[in-house]
Amino acid sequence: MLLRRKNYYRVLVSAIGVLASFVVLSPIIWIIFTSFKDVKEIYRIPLTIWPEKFVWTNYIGVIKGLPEFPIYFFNTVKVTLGTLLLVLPISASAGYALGRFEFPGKKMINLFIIAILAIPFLVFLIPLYIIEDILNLLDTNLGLILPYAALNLPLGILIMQGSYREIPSELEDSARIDGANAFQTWFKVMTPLVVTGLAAVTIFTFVAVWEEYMFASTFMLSTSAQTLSVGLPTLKVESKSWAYGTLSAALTLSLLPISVVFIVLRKYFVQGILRGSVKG
Amino acid sequence: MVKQETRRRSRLIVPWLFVLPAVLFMAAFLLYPLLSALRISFSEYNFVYSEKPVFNGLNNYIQLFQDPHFLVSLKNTIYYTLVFFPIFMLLALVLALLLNTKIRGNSFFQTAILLPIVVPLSLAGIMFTWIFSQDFGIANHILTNVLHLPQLQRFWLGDVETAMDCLIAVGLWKYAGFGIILFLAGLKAISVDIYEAAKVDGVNAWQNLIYITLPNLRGTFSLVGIWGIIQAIKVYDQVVVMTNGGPGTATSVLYLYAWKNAFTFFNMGLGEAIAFFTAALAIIISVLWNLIFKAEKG
Repeated sequence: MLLRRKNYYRVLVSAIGVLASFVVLSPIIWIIFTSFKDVKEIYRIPLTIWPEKFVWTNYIGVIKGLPEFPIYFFNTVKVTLGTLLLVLPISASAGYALGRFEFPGKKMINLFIIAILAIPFLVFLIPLYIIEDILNLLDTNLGLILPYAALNLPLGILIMQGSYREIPSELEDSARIDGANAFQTWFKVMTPLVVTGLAAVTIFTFVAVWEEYMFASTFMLSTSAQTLSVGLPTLKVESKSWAYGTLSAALTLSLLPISVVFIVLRKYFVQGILRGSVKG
Repeated sequence: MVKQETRRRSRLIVPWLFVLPAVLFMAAFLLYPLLSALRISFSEYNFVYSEKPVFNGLNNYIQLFQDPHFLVSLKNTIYYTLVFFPIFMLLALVLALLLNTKIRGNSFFQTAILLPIVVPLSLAGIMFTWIFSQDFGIANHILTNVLHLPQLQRFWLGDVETAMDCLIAVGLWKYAGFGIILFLAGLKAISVDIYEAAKVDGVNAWQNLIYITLPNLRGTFSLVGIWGIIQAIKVYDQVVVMTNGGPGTATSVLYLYAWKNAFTFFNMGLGEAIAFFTAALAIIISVLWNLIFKAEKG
């Protein structure tokens, strides 16, 4: 009797799971389906959901007729990689110091990090714009990499701090007895043990940069410097509406890389949430 | 003696060497801008005309509360939060409780529901503008041709009544999954022993939920709540892409109005004052929310 009720419950939960997944995924599925439809079919009433005929014309349209797309795409990739290149080593070395040493100033640094995490980024937008204007960084990839690195550092440092703290101290001691200097101990002994932490920082930073809109739309005014999240919404044609055929293909192409990265690193994303939130 | 002295010094220098790059970076790109922002918020500073910020005390903040557009933006942001937040919390909690079961496909469900977190809100904005569009939108199509309720059909984003709710729907679509994952993590952290002991005492599922699960989720409630509140108060991306504050001022929110002051009118002082006001609002509500869950503990 009890067993049967349990099974009913499971069926119910599965049904709700299917329903919720469907509701959440349906806008994305709709975009993907549309990207394979002929333009005439897209603008025909009543609408169709499943494409009558699968065609590649929209993707060809992106490749041939949308020279902005590769520019946006590679800007996004460059900015993402550039930010990671700064955030990973800086948060790893700071996380090591904060996680394993007691030193004057440590409390201040941690307090500052927590404070930054509580302040909406909007506060930093205006002064950073003024600084970038003076340094001629507006409309350059570096002009996004620097603020993105700064804004993503606090969470990165928190995650890395937690990761280093978990390592048993015997390992560090024996490395020191073997004559390793501080840098070698950090880089060769300790850092290989915090790969999950680094993966978490990578996925968080990756997602944050890939989707960031406010800074990118304020600092990057010319097409040549814009990222996908800023560039694609500007692709309205003269009549002030979007050409949904090519746009749906462009959307599909821009969501593909981030989705793959996310699905591969999802485990670390969830672990990172635990580490950054519960321990921080 | 000498050796001990150098050792003590290296114990101080080594950690500082490791932390120095981060400190310098944050000082240049976070601390300095933060102080500079504070100064700008207390200054008259037009980016085009003014040579540099001129201190004007609380003028910007006083001006804000006499500005009807600001008050509308504040009201809209509060409306957004009041609708978004309870639905977000309820969806996240209920789905997490349901998905905290061993069923087939669970990891697929969780990945699917969390997927929107990687979809840029601005691109989600394009998708949903299309979904809600009058002629070729799937929302109207489903209402008319699938549910046969053509009278409910409307221009969702052009209608003062519904525009804000559409923006809220996009926010929920994007963020609910993250709330679910946070609650699931909280549920996993509750020790199995408690439930085992309760089972021996003959506690039913409902009592389990009320007396064991929910009280043990207090920390998670505080965390998810704060996160949700901040996401609501800083709503911006989908607003710019989908309505840009319209129709009229129906969807003008604090972030948007701050941005417009700073980068359309180049009134940096006023923009920064709105930014600090928004920050204060987010922090105060977060602290209050946290207090609720701390107070119950005692």
